Amino acid sequence: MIDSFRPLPRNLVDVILPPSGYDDAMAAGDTTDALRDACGSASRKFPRSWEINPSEWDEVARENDRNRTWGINYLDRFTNQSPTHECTAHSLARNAEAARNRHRAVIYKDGPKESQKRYDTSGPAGSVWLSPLSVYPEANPGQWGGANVRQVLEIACRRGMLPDTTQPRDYGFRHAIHGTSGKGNANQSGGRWLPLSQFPAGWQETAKLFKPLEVIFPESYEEAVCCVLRGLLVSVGRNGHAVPWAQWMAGERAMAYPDSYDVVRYDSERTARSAWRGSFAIVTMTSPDDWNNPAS
Amino acid sequence: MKAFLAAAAFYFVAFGLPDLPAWVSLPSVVSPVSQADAVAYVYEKDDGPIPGGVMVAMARLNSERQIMATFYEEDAGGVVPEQYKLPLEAAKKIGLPALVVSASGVVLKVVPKPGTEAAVMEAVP
Repeated sequence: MIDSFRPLPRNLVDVILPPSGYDDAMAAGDTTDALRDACGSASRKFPRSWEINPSEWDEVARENDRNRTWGINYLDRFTNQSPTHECTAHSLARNAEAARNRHRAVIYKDGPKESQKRYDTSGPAGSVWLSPLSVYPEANPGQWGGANVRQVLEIACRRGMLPDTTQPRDYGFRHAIHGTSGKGNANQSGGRWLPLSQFPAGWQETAKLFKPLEVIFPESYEEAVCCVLRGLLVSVGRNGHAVPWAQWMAGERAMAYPDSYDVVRYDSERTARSAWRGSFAIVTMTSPDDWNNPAS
Repeated sequence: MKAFLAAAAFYFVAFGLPDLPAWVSLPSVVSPVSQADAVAYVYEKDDGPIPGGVMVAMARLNSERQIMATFYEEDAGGVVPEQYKLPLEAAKKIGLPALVVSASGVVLKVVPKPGTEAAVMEAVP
């Protein structure tokens, strides 16, 4: 799965799904400037020192394959939003989880586990599964119709995200809600629609433990690829759906992403070149005082 | 001389060491080099990305040696978490990036600019 030079299954490339929560009007509002404004003090410029000459991309991809240091290697599970419109919130949460696990220095060698399986190491490593549903209802109280990337990002940067009630071990979180009002899976709890007014009392105390602190906004396709080559996830919206790119597939110049339907899919280079505008990559999340006790 | 030393040894074993005057101070006992239980790679992202080899080494410390090996980005903003206050201070003294090796909250070693897997692994006792 991690071999970025392998041929890609055609049925998983440039898949266009039924509306999942990101229509053209929303995409038009998600400009780089709008996202940067939404993040406020968490906004960061793409570091010039991260640039990689395109002639060296293959070599860096091989190194990432060998080391298992792609963004997808910092993810240990899938999510499943079906049939909701929560896609931008799922993409955000995956981006946040990967950034957190990256700073925790834990590599999941095969990337996300199939929906019914788990890594034994997720719990001891303090992997925290975040709830997209802790963000989406504030962005769209109406439940159906989706949300802008800039909306969910602004919410996360302002007040953070809640953990899912399903975790790889019992961390003792004082506040948690289910992960999605959709299907979910063994590693993501699903449940009924939950308006913000029905969040557990005092939820803000726990949400503030999971805030993006530094967010980069690629200003070209090349910068987006460099972010992925550096092990970050790049969240994009395209074709009516929002996803986090997590691996650059060197063999076909495509982008792999853990789709919020329990599966890895791919954007061709052509799609990726049309989709990088309005993208973001979380570099840093709030770190706990004690990684063994993320609820503290 | 041998007879004297033997008699002194017998005396100290039988009756213990004599009290020393207050002005005599003995050097404190120094424990052997402590076993590292935490390693922090403190960096500033604008100065460069985390090298792949460093990432691999830190993950190995976590999985193979159960040492809490983590990264801390210097200008992340927000409150500096308790666990990074001392490593951050120690790292800044020699310049970033730096690898700060600790045991029980005491900094054992600070290594400037480790760039490879081997450099990190060798730095951790």
